[in-house]
Amino acid sequence: MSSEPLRKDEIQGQIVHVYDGIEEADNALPHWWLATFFGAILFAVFYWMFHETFPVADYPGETYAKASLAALNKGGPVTDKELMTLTEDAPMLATGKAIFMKECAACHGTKAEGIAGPNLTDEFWLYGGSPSEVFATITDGTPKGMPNWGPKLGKGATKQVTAYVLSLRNTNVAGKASQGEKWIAPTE
Amino acid sequence: MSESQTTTIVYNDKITRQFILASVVFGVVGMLIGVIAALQLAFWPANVSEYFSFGRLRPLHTNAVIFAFVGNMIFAGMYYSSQRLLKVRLPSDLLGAIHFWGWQLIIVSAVITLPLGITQGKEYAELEWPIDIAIAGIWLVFAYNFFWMLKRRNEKQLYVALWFYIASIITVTVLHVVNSMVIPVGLFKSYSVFGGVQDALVQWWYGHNAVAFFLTTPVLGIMYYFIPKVSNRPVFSYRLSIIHFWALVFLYIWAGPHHLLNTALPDWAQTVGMIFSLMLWAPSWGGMLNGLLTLRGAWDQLRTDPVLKFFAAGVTFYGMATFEGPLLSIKAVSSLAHYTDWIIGHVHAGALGWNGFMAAGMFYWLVPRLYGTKLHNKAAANWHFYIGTVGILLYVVAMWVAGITQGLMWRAELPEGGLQYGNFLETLIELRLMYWMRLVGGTFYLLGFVLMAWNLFMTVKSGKAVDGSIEVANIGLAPEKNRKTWRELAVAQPMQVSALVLIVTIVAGFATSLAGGAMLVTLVAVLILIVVFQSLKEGRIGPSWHSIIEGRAGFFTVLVVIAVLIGGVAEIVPTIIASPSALKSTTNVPYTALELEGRDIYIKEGCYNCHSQMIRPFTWEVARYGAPSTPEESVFDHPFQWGSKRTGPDLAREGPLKSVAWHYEHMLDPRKSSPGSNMPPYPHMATNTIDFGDTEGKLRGMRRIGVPYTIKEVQLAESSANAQAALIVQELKDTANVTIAANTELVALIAYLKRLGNPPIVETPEGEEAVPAAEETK
Ligand code: HEC
Repeated sequence: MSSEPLRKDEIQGQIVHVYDGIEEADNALPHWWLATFFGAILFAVFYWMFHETFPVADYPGETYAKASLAALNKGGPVTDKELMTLTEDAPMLATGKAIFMKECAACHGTKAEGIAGPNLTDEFWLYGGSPSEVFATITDGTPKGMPNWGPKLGKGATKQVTAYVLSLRNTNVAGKASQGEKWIAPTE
Repeated sequence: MSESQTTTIVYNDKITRQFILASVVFGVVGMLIGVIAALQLAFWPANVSEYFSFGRLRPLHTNAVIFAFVGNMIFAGMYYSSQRLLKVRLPSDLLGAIHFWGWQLIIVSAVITLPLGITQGKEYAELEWPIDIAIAGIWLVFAYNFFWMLKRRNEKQLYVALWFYIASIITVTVLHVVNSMVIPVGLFKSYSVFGGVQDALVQWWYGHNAVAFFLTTPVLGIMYYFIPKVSNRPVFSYRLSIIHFWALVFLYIWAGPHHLLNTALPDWAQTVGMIFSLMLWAPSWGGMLNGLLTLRGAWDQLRTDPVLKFFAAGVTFYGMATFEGPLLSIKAVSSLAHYTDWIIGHVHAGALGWNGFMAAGMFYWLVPRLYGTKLHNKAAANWHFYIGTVGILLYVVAMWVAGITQGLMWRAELPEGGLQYGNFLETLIELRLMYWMRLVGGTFYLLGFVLMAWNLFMTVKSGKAVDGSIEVANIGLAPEKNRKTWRELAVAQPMQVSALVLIVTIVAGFATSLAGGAMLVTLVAVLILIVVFQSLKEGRIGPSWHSIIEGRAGFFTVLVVIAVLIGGVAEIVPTIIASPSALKSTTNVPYTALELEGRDIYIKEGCYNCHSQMIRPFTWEVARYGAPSTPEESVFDHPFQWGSKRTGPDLAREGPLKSVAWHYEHMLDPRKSSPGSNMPPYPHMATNTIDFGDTEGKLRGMRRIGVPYTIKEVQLAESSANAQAALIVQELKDTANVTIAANTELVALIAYLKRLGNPPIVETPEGEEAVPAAEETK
């Protein structure tokens, strides 16, 4: 930086530094630039608030889960294949699990190990172990006292909770002793 | 000052000449490989050999262009301008020479190893561990020489170009070292210590910031030196330099997750990636403004001077690309653009427009000066500019059209449910014309570049190497009066404000309540007030805080380090902390020995350059590929293979879809089952063999980085691989009547493909609880 007084350029205004012959002016920042700069920061803050601080807006996975629930509610007759596909669908399973914890855990236990109701983690089923049989059991209830969840949950949510129950099958959590008949998946 | 008190400093300009030569040569090579790769996508028979098939050539192209062409260019520009801005000769010519020759050796080793399939399988970080170590060593040599030069400078204040150089050198060191952490399992084979989600996050933190701190900030520094120098006009605004420099350095490092939007990456990290990308828009345009507005009063020179034409266009392309980038970071836009050619178009607007044109401008101006002569042919330089511009426009428009077309076709659903274009091939064949147009665009650009190479060569021939020099006062840096200590600087008002803002942001960021929201709003209000207040406070007495730290290279560097580290630590540390529990709770099972070998073939062939393994949660995507991918599914993937481009379909749930016989035929000749496919054929896989004797070592390496193989599994790796291979060979014989050796690459690859999305069911003996393998190995 030279110590001589610095010149004023007609276009760029007062020169404030010179390095290796390169002059540097110090113009004010354009207002539109400042507006985009602070605008983007403000947007970022609000976006974070909507998604993280008070999560009112949905994440992509949640949006998808809602859309697929709507699709599940439509659909034709329930098939084994459809239910098995759901067991590989993480967002579906998560919703199914939430429903299970809220509605089913009281009788079946939080690990589905069985309390009043039977253990759901073994290979034995009282009312049939195929996916559509499990779905039907949950929808219509049982003579031994399980309520019919179909009308309360709706078709879509019943499918989701069925998928969650199916995902627990054969995990063999220690709990209530096995009841019913052994169910073996048919080989294709 | 009398004459006797000055010395003449002769700059080391030889090193600049060398780096320019290397940059031009490797630029031609790298772009030529790019043109060949573009041809392969339009015309599959261009995959002429095992060594030059698309999956191996594309990494060579990206590495050559980024690290050889642009790398050598930034070194040339940095050495030339830093010596002059600091008024000192490069302290060590020897270290400079080591830097130059070491770097070229690294490039040559890349040119040899990548076609051989020696790769880590992480984009822009493919080079294997011995080369990575060499890169780190050479980079430190460069850094040492650079900071030594800073220390010996005869100019107290650091000009903005140097700020950008400091930030680049520091950040690239950190990025390279962290992302290259691997466990070697052989001289030319290693596994990333990070796995799955964590590896994805680290890789794109690196990948994005390689763009930022290798392709952008050094070139911004070069812009700040050469645009005012060439146009002989004053830089537009010093305060804009300050704001956009610090904003870029601080914000850039957070933006990596925008490469992973809508994937299995935790949602909070995706949100961070998106909002920081949006905040980057204005700081990036700050650089563009300072470049373009410096040309105020020099617009008439643009008509006659090819150098300024290149610079003005380069900066404009920079502005375009940095507008497009934040746009693409919006989750909804990403859902359309991700995995398509739009992204390829975006990166080429930056690489060809910004990097390529800034390089051309710099070379056309420097070479005549470094050889004491005039540019051989100015008209040819102007022609280069026009051919190059047309080439970029053809390229970028072709990719926009291709990307948006394919993105829309992928998501087109029928009103009654199901996909409108259920066959992936339909969406690929639709792009054929655009792929040819891209080839034409790329070829134009290459021709322009070759024209420059010839022009520069003729210029060099007509001159003789000359080194610049300067007279400087003999007294070094005058001692400062009232020198502030670093403590005084560290507690000055700007630091207080920054610290306050940071703390409030962090606290508010974690808050999930009304109070948190209120804090955020207050924070913004305070920020705005501070800025308004500061702008009103004209006519300060004495030097500003920032101008003091510009005179203190050490302190300045420390601040840069802090600014850069905050983002990286905030993003990466949480996933590292979460990693052990993710490994413990997973129900996923590690790959078998043979599947792991097959996976290594997948990596070796660079299948990830065309195939993703990450299904996003959209109905149309689930309809095509199956349920959305989960973090669990890639928890044992070292390195992750989520991919970034779908030239072919997603393979995350490929396993159950196709038979062993189908894969056999498809890998040997993809067009037999899929007419119109542009996937390369892989006949060599049916004959190349794998030595299963090495498999044990691979499993042992994996075990060391946390994959829960039991000791027995490790020891039995060889026999287990042989046994599983024999089953596949038998199945091929039974179903397709083909005979193939069990230890071939193809058999292993098929085992891996059959495993994708198809984990084995763990059989648990009745009554016993399943023991997670991770516990058993403890
Ligand atoms: C140039 C890009 C490209 C590369 C490289 C590539 N593929 Fe493909 N791949 C495609 C395209 C396009 C398709 C869709 C058409 C077809 O089936 O061939 C495809 C289809 C596939 C399929 C069938 C998917 C399905 O179920 O329809 C598999 C499996 C596959 N590729 C595996 C691989 C493997 C393994 C590699 C590496 C050895 C590889 N690909 C490399 C482009 C590529």
